[in-house]
Amino acid sequence: MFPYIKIIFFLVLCSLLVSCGFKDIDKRSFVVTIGIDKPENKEEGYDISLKIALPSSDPKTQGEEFIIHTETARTVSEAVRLIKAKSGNELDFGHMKMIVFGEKLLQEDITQIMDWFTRRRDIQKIAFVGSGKPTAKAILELKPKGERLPSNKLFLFFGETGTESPYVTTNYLFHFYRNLMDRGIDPYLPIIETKNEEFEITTMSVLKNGKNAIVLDKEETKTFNVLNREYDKVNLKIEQENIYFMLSVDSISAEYTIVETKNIPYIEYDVNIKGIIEESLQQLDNTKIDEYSKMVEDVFTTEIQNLLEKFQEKSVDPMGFGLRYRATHNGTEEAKWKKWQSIYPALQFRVKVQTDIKSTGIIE
Amino acid sequence: MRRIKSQADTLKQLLEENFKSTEDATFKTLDNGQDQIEMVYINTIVDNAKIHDLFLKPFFEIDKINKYVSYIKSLNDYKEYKNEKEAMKEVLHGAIVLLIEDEALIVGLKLQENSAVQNAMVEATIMGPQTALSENINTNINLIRHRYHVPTLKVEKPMLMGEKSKVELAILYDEQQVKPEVLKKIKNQLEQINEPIIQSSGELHRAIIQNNKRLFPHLMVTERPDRIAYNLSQGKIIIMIEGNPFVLIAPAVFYDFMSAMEDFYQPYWVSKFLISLRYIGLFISLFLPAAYVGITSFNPEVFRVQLAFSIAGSRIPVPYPSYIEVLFMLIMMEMLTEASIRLPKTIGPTATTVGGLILGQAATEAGLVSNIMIIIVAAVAISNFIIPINEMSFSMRVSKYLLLFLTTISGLIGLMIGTIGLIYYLVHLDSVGEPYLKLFFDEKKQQT
Repeated sequence: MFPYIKIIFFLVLCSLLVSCGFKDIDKRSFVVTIGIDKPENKEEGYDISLKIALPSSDPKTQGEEFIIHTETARTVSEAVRLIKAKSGNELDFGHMKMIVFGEKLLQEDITQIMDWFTRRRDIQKIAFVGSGKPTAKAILELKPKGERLPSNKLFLFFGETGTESPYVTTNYLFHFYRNLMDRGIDPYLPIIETKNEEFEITTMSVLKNGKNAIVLDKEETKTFNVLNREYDKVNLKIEQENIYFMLSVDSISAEYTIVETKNIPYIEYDVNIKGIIEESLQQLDNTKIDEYSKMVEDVFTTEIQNLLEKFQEKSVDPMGFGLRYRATHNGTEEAKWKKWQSIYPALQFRVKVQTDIKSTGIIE
Repeated sequence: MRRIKSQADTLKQLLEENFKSTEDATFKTLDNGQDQIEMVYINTIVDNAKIHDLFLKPFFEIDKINKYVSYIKSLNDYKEYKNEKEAMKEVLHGAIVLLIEDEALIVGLKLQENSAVQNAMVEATIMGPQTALSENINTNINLIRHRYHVPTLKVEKPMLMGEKSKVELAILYDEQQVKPEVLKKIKNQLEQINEPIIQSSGELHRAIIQNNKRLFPHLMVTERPDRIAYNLSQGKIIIMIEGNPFVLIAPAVFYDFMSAMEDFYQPYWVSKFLISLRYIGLFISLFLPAAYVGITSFNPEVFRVQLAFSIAGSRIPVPYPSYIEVLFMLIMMEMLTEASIRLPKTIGPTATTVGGLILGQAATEAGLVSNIMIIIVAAVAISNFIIPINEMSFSMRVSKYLLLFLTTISGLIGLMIGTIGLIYYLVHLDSVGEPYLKLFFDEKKQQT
C-alpha cells in the first residue's frame, strides 16, 4: 500500500549508523598541537600539553589566542581526560596537525605512546611529527610574531604551503609510525628549536628502536632530504682554493640499487643534478663548465658518502635499505632479516653524482 | 420534415429555458417582410461588430430565404447542427444560433479579449525571441505554426477540459517524430481527467499525472514558442489549454528542466559553461545548507583550520544550534522570495533591500546568526534562481529541506543517504512512460 515505506524504513535505519553526535562547532575546543614531555621528577608517565585555540568572534583578532593545558599521567588518554575536565568545551582533535615529542622523551622508547595516536579515530594520520628542544611544551608556548592562528607557523613550515626549505624535514604521523614498526627502516624526526622567539627547524634526529640514535647537523639534514625526497629546491655550496660558487638545483634524481656480490655487497647510488650557478665570488668562465661540474660532483659525492657511512656506523637505516632488501629478495622473513643484519655493517656505498650545469649564468 | 421541425422548436425552447434569465443573452427576431428568422447568442462573448455585416445586412439584401441559408452555410465558422446539447455548448463558446424556418444553423463568432502576445517574463533570454505565448489558444497555434512549417504537424482538439470550466484543449505533435505509444498514453490520461475546473497548465499537469502528490514536475511547462517548436522537432507532444500563456510539453526528462533556450543561441563553449554553471548552482542550492550543518556540527575537521576557526568564532554569539540558525535564515529567505513575487513591482525592490540587506546585517549584529550563515543563505537563494525552469527551481527549494532534516539528525551520513535517496526517487519517476532522470532526450543517438 505504501511503496515508500521500505525506503523510509531504510533511511531511518541508515541514520542509526551515525557515530559522531551533534555538537556545534562553537561548543568544541580545537586542539592544534599536542606536546609530550617526560616529567622532571617522576620515573613513569608523561607530561601531556594540549594547545587549544580560542576562536574569537571578532574576525580581526580571530584565533590569535590560545591556552595550554598540561597534565601528568601514566598514559596519554588519562591526561587527556583530566584536561577535558578543565576545558568547558568538548575537545576536538580533528584539527590537531602537530605532534611534538620532548627531546628527553626520545631518550627512551616511544613506541608505547604511539599507541594512543594510532588508535584514536579522530586523530588525523597526516599530522606532522617533530621533536621539541629543549621541551615540547616550550615549542607549544612559543608565539612567533605574525602568527594568525595558533601553531599555524609550524603547519606552514611542514606543510610546504609556506616555506620550502631543504633543512626542514617533514614527517607525517602515519609514515613515522610505519617506520617505527617496520623492520628495515628507521624513523626520523625534525628537531624544532626556539631561538629569539622564533622557530628554527634545521636539524633532525634518527631513531632506532624508538630511541634517539643520532642527530644530524644542518648540512647532513639537507643531504638527507635531497636523497630521501629528491628535494630539488636546494643550493649546493662549492668552496675551493680560489673558487666559491653556489649551484641552484633545478631538478634532482636519486636512486640506488643494492648489488650483492660474492665478496662485499655494495649499494650503488646514482644522483643526477641539473642546475645553474646562482652566485659566485669570482668571474666564472663558460668554457670551464665541465670543470665546475666536476667540482660539484666531488663535493656532493663526499657529502653523500659521509652521510651514508654515518648511518651505517650507528647502524640506523632511515633510507630504508633494509626494507628494499626485504622487498626484493625471497625466503622467509626471519632469514632475510638476519641476512640483512649481517650484510649492512659491511656494506659499501658507491656514490655516483652526475652534474649538468646549464650555464654559468653570465652573459659575456 | 417532422424531424427538422422539432429540431428548431426544441432547441428554441431549450435555449429560452436556459438563457432567458441571463442579461447578456440576446434573442432577436429579424423580419424583412417575407421571412422571419430568429437569432440567439450571448452578446458578451461574440464579436458584436461583425453581426451586422455577416448576418443582418445579407438578410435584408438577399430576397430568397434559401439563398440566405446557403450563404450562412458557406460562412467560415459554420458548424453543423448535431444535437441540442452540442448546440448549447456552442452557444456557451461564442456561437450564434440561427433558427430559419425549421432549421437550426450554428455559426461560431467567438470574440476573445486575450489574444495579445505577451513578452517572455518567466523564461526571459538575452538574445533570441522576446515574445511568449498569448492566452488565446488559436493565437498560440498560429504562433507555433509560424515557427514550425511542417506538413506533419498535427493539431487535435479532442475535448473540453473540466466539467464546469469546459475550456478548449489542443494537442500538437509532429506525426513523423512522435512516439505513438506516448501519444496514446497522453490521450488516455487526458480522457481520464475528471476535475470540475481546470484553468491553468499547472492544474492540468496535476490532473494528468495520476499520482498527484508529486514533488518534481513530470511535464515541462513553458511559455516560449521557440522552445515549443524545438520540442516538437524532438518528437514531443504539446498540450495547450485555452486562457493560459503556458503549455505543457510531454514527455520531459530532467535535463530539459536544466536547459534554457539561450543555450542554442550562444557559442558552443559559452553554452557548455552556462550549463555547467547551472548544475553547480543546483548543487549549491541543494546541498549547501545541509552541508553547513553536517560539517559544523558533526565533522568540523573537513574544513581547513582557518575556516574552522573563523566559523567557530562567528558562531560564538549565536545562541541556537546550527540547524535552527540555518532554518531561521532559510525561512526568512523564502519569505522574502515569496513576498517579492506577490508585491507590486514598484514595492518589490524596496522589500528585497529591506529584507536582504538590513535584516541580514542586523541579524549578524544581534548575534542571531553567524556571518558565514548570511553568505550561505545568499548563495543558496541566488543559485536557486539559476535553474531555468521555474517549476524545477521550486522543487529544489523544497528538496533542500529534506536534506537539511536528514543531515540534522544524522550528520554527513544523512546528507549522503538523502542524496542517494533523491537520486533513487528521480530514477524511479517517469514522464508519460519515459524515464525521467535521463540526461538527454534523444532516442536516435542511442539507436545508432
